[in-house]
Amino acid sequence: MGRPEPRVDGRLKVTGNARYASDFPVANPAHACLVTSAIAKGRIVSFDLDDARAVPGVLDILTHETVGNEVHEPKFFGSGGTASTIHRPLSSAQISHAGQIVAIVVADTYEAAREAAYRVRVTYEEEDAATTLDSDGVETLPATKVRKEHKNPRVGDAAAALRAAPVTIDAVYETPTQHHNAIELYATTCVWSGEQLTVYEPSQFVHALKHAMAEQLGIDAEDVRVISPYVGGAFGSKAAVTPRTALVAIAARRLNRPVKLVATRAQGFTIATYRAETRHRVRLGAQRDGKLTAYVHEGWEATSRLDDYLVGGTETTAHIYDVPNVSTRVNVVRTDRATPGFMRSPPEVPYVFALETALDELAEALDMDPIELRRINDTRNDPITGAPYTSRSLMACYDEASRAFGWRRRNLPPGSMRDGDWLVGWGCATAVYPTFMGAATARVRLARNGATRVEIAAHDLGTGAYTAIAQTAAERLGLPVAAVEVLLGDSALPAAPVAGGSNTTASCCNVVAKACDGIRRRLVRAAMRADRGPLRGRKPSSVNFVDRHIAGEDGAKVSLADAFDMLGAPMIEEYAHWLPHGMEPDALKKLHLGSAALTGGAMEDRIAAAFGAELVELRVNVYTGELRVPRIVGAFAAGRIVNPRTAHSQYVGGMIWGIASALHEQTELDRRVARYVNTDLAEYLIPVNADVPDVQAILVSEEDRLVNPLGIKGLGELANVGTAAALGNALYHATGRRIRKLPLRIEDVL
Amino acid sequence: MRYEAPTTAKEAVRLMAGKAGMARVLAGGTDLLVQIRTDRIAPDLIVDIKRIAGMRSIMTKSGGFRIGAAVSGAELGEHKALRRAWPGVVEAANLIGSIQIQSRATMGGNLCNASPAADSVPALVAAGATAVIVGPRGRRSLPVEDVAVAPGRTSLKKGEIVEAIVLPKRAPRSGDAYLRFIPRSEMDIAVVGAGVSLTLDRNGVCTAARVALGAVAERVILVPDAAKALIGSTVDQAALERLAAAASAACRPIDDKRGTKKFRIKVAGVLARRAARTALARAQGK
Repeated sequence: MGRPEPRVDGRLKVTGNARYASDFPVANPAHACLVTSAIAKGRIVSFDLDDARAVPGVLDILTHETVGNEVHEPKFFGSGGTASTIHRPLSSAQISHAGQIVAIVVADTYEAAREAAYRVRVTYEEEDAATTLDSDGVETLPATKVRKEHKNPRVGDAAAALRAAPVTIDAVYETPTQHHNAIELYATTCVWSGEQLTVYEPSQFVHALKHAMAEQLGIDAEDVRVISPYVGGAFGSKAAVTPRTALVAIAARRLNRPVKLVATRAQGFTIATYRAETRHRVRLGAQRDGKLTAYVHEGWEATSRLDDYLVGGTETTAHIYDVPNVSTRVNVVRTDRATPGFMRSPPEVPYVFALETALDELAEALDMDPIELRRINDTRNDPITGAPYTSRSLMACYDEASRAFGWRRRNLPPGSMRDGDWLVGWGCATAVYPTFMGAATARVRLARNGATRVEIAAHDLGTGAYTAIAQTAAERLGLPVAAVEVLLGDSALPAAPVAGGSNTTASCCNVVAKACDGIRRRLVRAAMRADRGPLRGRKPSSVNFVDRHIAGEDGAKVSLADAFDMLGAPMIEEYAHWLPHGMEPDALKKLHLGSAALTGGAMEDRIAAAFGAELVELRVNVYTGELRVPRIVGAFAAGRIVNPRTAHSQYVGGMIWGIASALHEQTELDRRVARYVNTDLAEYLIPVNADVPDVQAILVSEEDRLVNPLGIKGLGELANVGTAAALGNALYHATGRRIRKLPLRIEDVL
Repeated sequence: MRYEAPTTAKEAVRLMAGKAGMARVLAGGTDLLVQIRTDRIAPDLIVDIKRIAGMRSIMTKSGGFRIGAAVSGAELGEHKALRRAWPGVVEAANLIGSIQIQSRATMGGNLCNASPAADSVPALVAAGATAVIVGPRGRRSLPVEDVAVAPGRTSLKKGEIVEAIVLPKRAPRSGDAYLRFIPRSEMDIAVVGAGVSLTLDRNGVCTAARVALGAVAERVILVPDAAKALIGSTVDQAALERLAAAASAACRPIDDKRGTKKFRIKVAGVLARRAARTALARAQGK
């Protein structure tokens, strides 16, 4: 652990041998194609399927007229369930969002299915749809009303503190709709063997998908197996169970033949989740020396009519700085759109953008360096509860990032740095991500020759989980990484949490280490009790596993093979479960039922989070307003780093995503009809390589003895937090113009 | 939908002229296939011109070039003499899409797709290129700026196909350039495009110029007033300012998600000026 091991699955991936969901060969598959709604609100009056049925090779066309009540109502994950929505697919003529699945065509070939899907004619009765936050017909409700357990963080008397503050900021910020657009499309293959169903689907939570299928199809969970060893990008979109899976399963059951669906890129914009647009009003009060006295944050988030998805980012932002008076409030705005869902750092991306931009405005009002402002308000304790941070290295991150960036050469006044035709701006912002952990189980088997197999139904979304878990087992058992085989992404393996909230490394490495420790104990005991042998009579705590040996501090050692012989067994298999601090005792039971319960962040007795500092240079062309980002430096501290190479890759990728969020990414809404316009990668802009010339990630060392036994904090969702604020702040520094709405657009600069 | 791949222009014209309903020419397919797949069009007939030998070659013709309508961007980029004579045209064509797209996409297709934001078209218009059109009544030539009439619409008649694009013989001391503006650094549709071609006399005075703009009107436009600003000058700062002002004045753009009207008008002037500077340097042999 701690070494920059190359990915253990790297060769498989670059040679095309890693099997993604739709790569699994199944016998004689039929192919499915979706037909999605052309309207956002209303009902289906009729179908004309004659043309579609006439296509040679068409086997079946499922609509609400034929499926009806076959799918049981899913339970929304926001209410403790597993599904992205309570919508029951193909259960009625009702349309609640554009792009809703209205039919599924199954044929012998993909081509026939697609052709027939094109020929399905649907007649609708359309009603006016409410598209977004300020559209007519939306319903705005406080989060406390739609979610009983929701609590708006607050402390002190923020209103009074604001009134008394000599310096105040009061501004409104907005973030756009975004879609994950993982390269791997939403694919599902369902295979029935008698009563048993196997689902091949890219998943961030195979145990949830297993139980969801059992519930939605009315079958025994033990008859469902979900296989998803590799995932080609997910970013939250493959965590909750979407309506398509049950439909593919039903189609396969009706035909008694495997059915394979790979939805199109455009359909991916409406059959799964997305990041909804948000609006924020932030008010800050401070003394002239920069000490914050008040923080008031109200947020509005778009959701659907059916489900109240909530990101509620003040649950993160209220805990970052030392502010004695905090008042927050979050609202959901129900629109006629699909239900949004997790997208990388769901609460932090929009809410931290608002807070970190407001802080920059405050620094400007105070005529103060923005990093100094953050230093003045740094804290070791949760300002809401007073509980201590398990560890916190925010200012160390700023210090290291500043040094690497050359921040002290920054001129304070906006518009004062120029290079030829380019206005130069330097901006900064804090990155933060709460540390989450979940109950986890794992099985580890060690053979006499050192061959190790780790089984855990965790998920590698391209993040490096295979490698981190292999490194953990290798270190605990004193073996090379190559001796460890890791099996993930299969619901037949011991249950592990959702790959969400960046908890996988912390949860899974801790449980795997625990299982390895069980193996160690048995071998050590055997070695110590053996009649002869160099470790006879030693204390278990005095030995370690190194280089295929059990070694004492004085150099006395027993080889693994000898220890096995002393034990009299050819292999040992250990099963372990692990409950993180603060987890409710029934968490294991919930985990086995596919519940995504996580603990962490701001707890009663402590608060755990990873921090970072991002410093950026933005250049604005005087003549064209072109915005370019020649360099970005991020320094991050996230406890113990299991693999600096994959961590570095996550940070760099996160910052690039942050640049995308700031300058490019936005799902365009046709506000008249509640539809998305740019549903492909030609029109949904993300940066190309030329847009991200110099991205530097610094790993700041941090030791955390409290957060969990291995001291690991999640970091996958850390680095794309704050980037957009840093860039907006740099734009202000370059031009003196404050843009409070993302993405930053060139015409806003002219 | 019927697909045909004739080997002669005559056969292609016969197919295009004979079919009732929608017929479309397929060259690289980088626009056509996307439009079909996204349900924007549903042709009854597709005529692939890539097997017609005369449409796949670049020929030198009385000092100029005849570029077959099915010649790919990659082939243009590899043609040294063409690159030397018309660097602006080749650069413009090579800006379209990625390397993969370059090996398929053609200038003929870019022209006939009739997008106001087509990258190669302003460069061709500035170059004074003509389109050779073959149809049921034989061949005719048309200035490139007269091919597109509106977004997605051309002046071609039923059965007509653009067979080649002809670039004229280059006068000594000439240069051309094309620039486009996009929000990110590569791979996007032009928010504004500007093509400039000019010729100098022995004293460095501009004797001929053409300026064309893309993405600022319903089609690519030739801007004679902008050219006039250069002719008779040494392409000095004052002439460039007049050029920029004339270019901005000629714009009649729309707002869309890539840029606003106001932005396009301003940047058209900036890009025309920058393209003129590059064209000037090339004319001066720099």
